[in-house]
Amino acid sequence: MNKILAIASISLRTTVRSKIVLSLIVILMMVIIGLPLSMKSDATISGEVQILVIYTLGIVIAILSIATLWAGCAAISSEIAERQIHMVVSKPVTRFQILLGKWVGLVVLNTALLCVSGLAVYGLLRWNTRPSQLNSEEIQQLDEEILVARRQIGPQIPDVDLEAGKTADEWMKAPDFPSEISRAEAVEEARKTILRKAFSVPPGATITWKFDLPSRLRKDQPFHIRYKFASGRMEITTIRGTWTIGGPDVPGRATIEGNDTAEGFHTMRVQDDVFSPDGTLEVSYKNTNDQRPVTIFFPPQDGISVFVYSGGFEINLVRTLLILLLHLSFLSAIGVVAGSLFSLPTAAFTALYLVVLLKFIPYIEIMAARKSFVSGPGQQGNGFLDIFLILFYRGMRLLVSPLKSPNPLDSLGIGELVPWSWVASVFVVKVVVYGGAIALIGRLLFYRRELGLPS
Amino acid sequence: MIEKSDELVVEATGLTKIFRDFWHRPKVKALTDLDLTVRKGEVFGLLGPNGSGKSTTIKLILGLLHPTQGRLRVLQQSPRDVKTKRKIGYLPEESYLYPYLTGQETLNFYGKLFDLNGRERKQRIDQLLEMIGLKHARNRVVGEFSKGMARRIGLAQALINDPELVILDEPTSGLDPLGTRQVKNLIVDLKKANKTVILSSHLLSDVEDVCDRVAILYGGRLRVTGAVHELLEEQNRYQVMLPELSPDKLKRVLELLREALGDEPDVDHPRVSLENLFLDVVEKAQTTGDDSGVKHAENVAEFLGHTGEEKKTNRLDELVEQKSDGEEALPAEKEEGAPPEKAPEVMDEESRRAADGKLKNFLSESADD
Repeated sequence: MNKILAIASISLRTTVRSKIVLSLIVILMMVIIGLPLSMKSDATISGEVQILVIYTLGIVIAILSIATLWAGCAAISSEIAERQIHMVVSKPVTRFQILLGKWVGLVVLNTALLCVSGLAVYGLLRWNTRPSQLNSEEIQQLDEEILVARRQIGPQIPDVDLEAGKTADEWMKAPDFPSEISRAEAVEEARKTILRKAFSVPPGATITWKFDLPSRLRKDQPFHIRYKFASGRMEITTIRGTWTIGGPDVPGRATIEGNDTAEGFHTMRVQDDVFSPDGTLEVSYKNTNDQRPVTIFFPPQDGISVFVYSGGFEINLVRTLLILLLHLSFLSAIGVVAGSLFSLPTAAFTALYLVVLLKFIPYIEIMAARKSFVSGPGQQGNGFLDIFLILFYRGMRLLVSPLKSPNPLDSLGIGELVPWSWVASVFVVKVVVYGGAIALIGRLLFYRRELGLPS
Repeated sequence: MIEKSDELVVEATGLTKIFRDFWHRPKVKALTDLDLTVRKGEVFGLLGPNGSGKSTTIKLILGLLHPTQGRLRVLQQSPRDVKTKRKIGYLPEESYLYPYLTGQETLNFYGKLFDLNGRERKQRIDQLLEMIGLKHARNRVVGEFSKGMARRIGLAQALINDPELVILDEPTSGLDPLGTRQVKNLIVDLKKANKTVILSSHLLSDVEDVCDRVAILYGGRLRVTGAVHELLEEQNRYQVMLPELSPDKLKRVLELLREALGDEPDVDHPRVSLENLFLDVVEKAQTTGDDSGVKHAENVAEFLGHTGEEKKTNRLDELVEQKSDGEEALPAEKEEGAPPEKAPEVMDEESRRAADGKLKNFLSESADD
């Protein structure tokens, strides 16, 4: 362990004294201070916060990702090129310890830079949103919806599996049902259709959702209901409806008239005690758009959610930064291993290719779902090229899909909870599983590499 | 001669190294079928012009390259074994140091790689900085060092683990004559401390001064190996050193020599080497209190000599015993197929004894004078 720390500390000192860190801090501060000044928000307090949190921190992370990849690639490759590695490898140090030492050095450096950036953003955020600059409504919005960590709770989803199975079987009996579609695919499609139907509200009809709320919900904190819907007719975009919060037996039951636009999120603040004795919350919506009747659809995945207070903004920021740090640590592993195997330009190119690959995960998933590439549409490809491409994309999907992860800054910017379980899952996937696999491959290949070859 | 394997520090048999290109096709045969042994406690010189395979041999010993063919054992272990490296100190051809670290930090870093505890590291660093004369520059970054100063730090890091085997690649490059002499003295001290030294150098005089045995490589093949004194000794010629003589006595000596040899002997005044002359001048200048740059220390770091003290005495005793038994302390390896040594052909035994007797009588007389 001492050797790993010694190597890490040497990398750090070299980076600090070569003024790379100083240049990075200057660039990051320019972004943090300059970007909010150069970008126009929608003049709301939430827009201003989003610029600082989502865009500014987003660009900071992008800069750190590039710097990490470059520094990771250079960490060992430059020592091989300048032969300092000869002095290290001739000491009782394993190649794995060298890899780990360089990685730890980068992780420590990223931790420091993220802390500096996080503190700067937080300080600027607090300065820009100081009470003297805001009205009471903005202060309330800030305290309750933005600078807070709220848990998002979706409604109970009806169990439609049995019904979906029956529907799919009926579909498959039809003579014109496409033969290449499997039963599992048909069941999934049937499930989606049933849910869409369950979340649609025809004119005059009422839909009711039930939410299971956490037992340790803070009663003194208000909660919010966020919803969005789509209109069945494109020309009708503003829909009138009536919301009822709380079940029939709840004393604080409230009725709210709404006149909302389609395709956008809307939020209702609810303060009263509207919970049922069993801890659930019942919410109903009646489509009262009588003059121009239209059916509306709430998307099953995010059409309606309840946001309840779960913690402060600061700890949410820390968790977000931790997830970003874990992501940077994963990039460091890619960079260090690439740099231990190739020269700096080749390593940088290879590492960049792998990172770009991660950005294309949705595309890979779409391609992997295809049944043919050169055969006609809807046909099962049986040619060599089809089989090869199908196997290639499915293999790629298997390899990279677990790395798909939403951006925690999106949640932080809208006051949504970034739970510890998210941090843990990113740690397990990106650091333990993928980072570990990269380290093992790197160890094997770096051990075999002859470092004394003439350049 | 059968050698005990625990006495062999480096044992190479049929060692071959072929460098390959990207497509794995053979590109250069850097080393061919090298058989080499380095024994415990000796100073072994690796000689050869550029591209002869010296550096390849050293890199193979250090595990920086892997043999294509053949067997290589270093300290009875694989050269790639981490345990082997614990006992090796290495000074590369150029001191590949971290330019942003100070001299002290550099030594501290390498000390940590040997798992030396903080106290031990501090003691050794102090002694080594004293030894290499860079105590005053301990907090300067290495990037600001002159080549000679960087070389000294490189040398210090090679010794921080008190190694059993010290591999020095061009240790005197970039050093002034004073530093060169100091390094040579250090090598002699390391030998006295029963450490094995492998020295690769282009400066043949350095090698000649300190090495017990040498190997000369050319084109990746071993051409000659053996004890330095045996390789350099001209068995069929003699050199006689005389004190200052009056012209008359010199004339008589020459007559005797002419009589003994039947030929005109070469007579000249001996010359001191330029190195010795330079060192004398500097030494005198230093007594006046003047100084330039590096402070030159004389003492070898205490921890380096300490462990080998007992062994040193034993080894010296051993050498003395071997000498008194009429054996060679470090007998030369003979190349297979090498021509037999020629017997000196000067004159018949009787005439030679007579001439020798006259010469001895004369010398004792002149000493009495």
